[in-house]
Amino acid sequence: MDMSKYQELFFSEAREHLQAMNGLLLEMEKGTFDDEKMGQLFRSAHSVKGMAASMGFARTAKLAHQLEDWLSELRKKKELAPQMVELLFEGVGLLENLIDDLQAKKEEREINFFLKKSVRQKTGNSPATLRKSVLQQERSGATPPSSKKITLHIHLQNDIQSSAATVNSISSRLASGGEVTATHLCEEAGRCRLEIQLQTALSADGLRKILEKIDGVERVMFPFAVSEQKPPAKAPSPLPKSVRMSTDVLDYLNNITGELITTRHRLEAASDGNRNSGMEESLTELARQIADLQHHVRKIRMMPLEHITATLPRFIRDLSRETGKNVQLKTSGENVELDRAVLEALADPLLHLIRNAVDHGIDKEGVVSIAAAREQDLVVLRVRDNGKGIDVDAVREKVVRLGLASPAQLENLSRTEVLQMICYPGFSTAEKITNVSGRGVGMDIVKTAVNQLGGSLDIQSTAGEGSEIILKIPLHVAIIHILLVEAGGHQVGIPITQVHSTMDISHSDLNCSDDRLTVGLAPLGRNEENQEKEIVPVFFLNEFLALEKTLPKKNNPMILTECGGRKVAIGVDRLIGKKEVFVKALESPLREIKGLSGATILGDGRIFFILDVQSLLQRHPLADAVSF
Amino acid sequence: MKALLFKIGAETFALDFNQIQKVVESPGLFAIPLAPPFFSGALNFHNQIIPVLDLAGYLEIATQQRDSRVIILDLSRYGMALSVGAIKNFHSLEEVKPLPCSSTSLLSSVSRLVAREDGQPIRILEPACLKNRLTSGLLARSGKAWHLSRPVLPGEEWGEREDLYPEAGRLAVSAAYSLSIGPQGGGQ
Repeated sequence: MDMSKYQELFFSEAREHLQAMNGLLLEMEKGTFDDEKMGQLFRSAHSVKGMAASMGFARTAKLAHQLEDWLSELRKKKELAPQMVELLFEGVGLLENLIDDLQAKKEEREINFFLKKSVRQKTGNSPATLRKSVLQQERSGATPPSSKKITLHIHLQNDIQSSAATVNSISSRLASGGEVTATHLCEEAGRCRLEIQLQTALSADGLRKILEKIDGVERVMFPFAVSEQKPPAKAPSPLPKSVRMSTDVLDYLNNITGELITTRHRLEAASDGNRNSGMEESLTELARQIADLQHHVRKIRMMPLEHITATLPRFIRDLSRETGKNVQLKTSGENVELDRAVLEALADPLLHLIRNAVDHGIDKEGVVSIAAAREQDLVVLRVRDNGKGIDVDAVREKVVRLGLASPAQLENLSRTEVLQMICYPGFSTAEKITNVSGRGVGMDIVKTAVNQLGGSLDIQSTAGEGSEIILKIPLHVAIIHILLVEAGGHQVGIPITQVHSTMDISHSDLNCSDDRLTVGLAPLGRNEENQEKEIVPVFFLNEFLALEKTLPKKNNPMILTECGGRKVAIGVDRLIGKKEVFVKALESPLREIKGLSGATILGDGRIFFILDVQSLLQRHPLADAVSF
Repeated sequence: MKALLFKIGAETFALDFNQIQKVVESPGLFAIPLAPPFFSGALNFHNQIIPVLDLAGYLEIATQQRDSRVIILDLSRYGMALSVGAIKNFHSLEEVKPLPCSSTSLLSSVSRLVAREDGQPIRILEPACLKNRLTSGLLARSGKAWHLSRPVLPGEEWGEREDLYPEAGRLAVSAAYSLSIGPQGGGQ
């Protein structure tokens, strides 16, 4: 798995947690012990630990673990001493540094000094009296946070008896207030000056008291008072390179882009009557900019298929155990990206398909494979199993039994068509309803979801070899290209994804046999005289819409589409043109009308309905080409 | 309750004022392909696509009269508009007495028969019931195989097929729903 994109996420999430911890520590410092806040602190540390561990960042994980341990203890004790706050602040700061290191692709810095020191800190300590403002960030060295290193300049009296003795007194006095780390005696113009480096937690006043009344001391100079010196504020961490955004915003962006397109069309329609060159230029520019915006919005919304296939291995394992079958899962093309909304809509159907494959297809053991690939504007998702295949005769029998079709009608249906009937609601070839499937809802759900997305579903199966369900889903939702056609005096739209090509067929090219119209199509790109033509069934859109009688004319515009893996030609009155539209999903009761996949409102307020040609054809008993 | 009264044929209906979004002069309706004939069409109401139900046609009450206005029902609940015979007026309906109704007709499943103060019978339309019946009816249409007549080739007469394509409806398009639906295939 490619870790790099998860790294960015880790960095931004970890920083969020650390930021939160800082905030909580600041709050807790001011007030009293807060159970809730302690819990939040603990959870944040815990999260950072977990994330770092799974990313393999050992030191970060170790440090976070340490903080987590302390926080856990403190929660139990229900107390938070100031020096612990100090310690935790330093720990969080150190974690931030580690993240800096990792993000700069450097090795995680050393943390042992902190871990060691902290142990010392825990074993009893004089309570700090000077914790008020932001701590000093010591980036190197093992400095106990509650004490500071200061340099005292002590001027000795001129006529000092024994400087050594004085120095000794001073040192021993100071020892009670801290740790003397260095002593330096210097002579300046006849005067002795003692420089003492002292590690102390005491304030200037406290030191003054200690050094009171030492013989030989003329003056004690404190350095620019450390406790009053504001420690350098920590530089704000660089802003994260990625943002997390609510999915509502994503949907909003998608919709507003669609409406921009509609408005643009309106402008174009309005300016058409007015050949104003200034306007035309701007409109062209606008069109380009909106296309660009749309492109970027779509990109944001794209997510790899992996998001819904990641949980499948576990699902298969559970299914295997439940059914007692040995099932293997193979996936490919998980990096194919789809629109977020499409992905969401496919998650459930995918599970249903797998359940079906395991439950009905596979006997004792087998392989379920999921493959995804991009084909122009579509994503093709294939779910295949190497089981026993779908028993077409059993399907036929069940169809008759359920009253979905008469035996006479079934005779007219192709094998492909019969297979499609397993998608009808209430259908199931299972003998009894098992836990997993057999309730007869699975395929119906899949079919509905696919249709709603403007896609198509095909079922292929060979007895003894297995079955394959092929889903073809448009890459993007809500904004689609439609082909506007006229049939029977009414204009409807057909999604371009369902249109293979368009053509004009003269009625002399039409053949009629057995009550069916067909046309012979030469394979594209070849124009040889005796080229074998593909026989394609012909229907007229009017028949489906049942609007008016229609006669094949001298010249018939037709749309070539695919249904169940076979080509079908649909005749219309007129091909109007292509349009990019914002599709409105239909609400109930319009939603219940089968064959409609949406509608769009054009710039001039006209409503066009969008047909789902695939579902129209599939419900047509004559949509089979086998007998030709 | 305050109700809008309207007539379809000889029947008088009442619709709770709270269930109505707006009564508007019918704008141009757009044909809804594949829809049963009792849908007059769809209208554009504030960029929303609203289907208009021809209530007379749906309830199978024979009458030619149609009001030029449509009643847009509360869209958040019902999502459609009604086309009726004649819209009357708003009326305060008090003290209505339910009338016995043994009929199991479609009419009685979407409305309840009551008596007004003056004894006149009136049907209180229940949009929720109407919508439920409508959608389940539409859903029931799915899953059944169609059985279309064979396509006609040039030179053939259409005469014997007149009955398949009766005249278009009055408002926009009323799709002739005479295509046989169902396992038996109907008479043609």
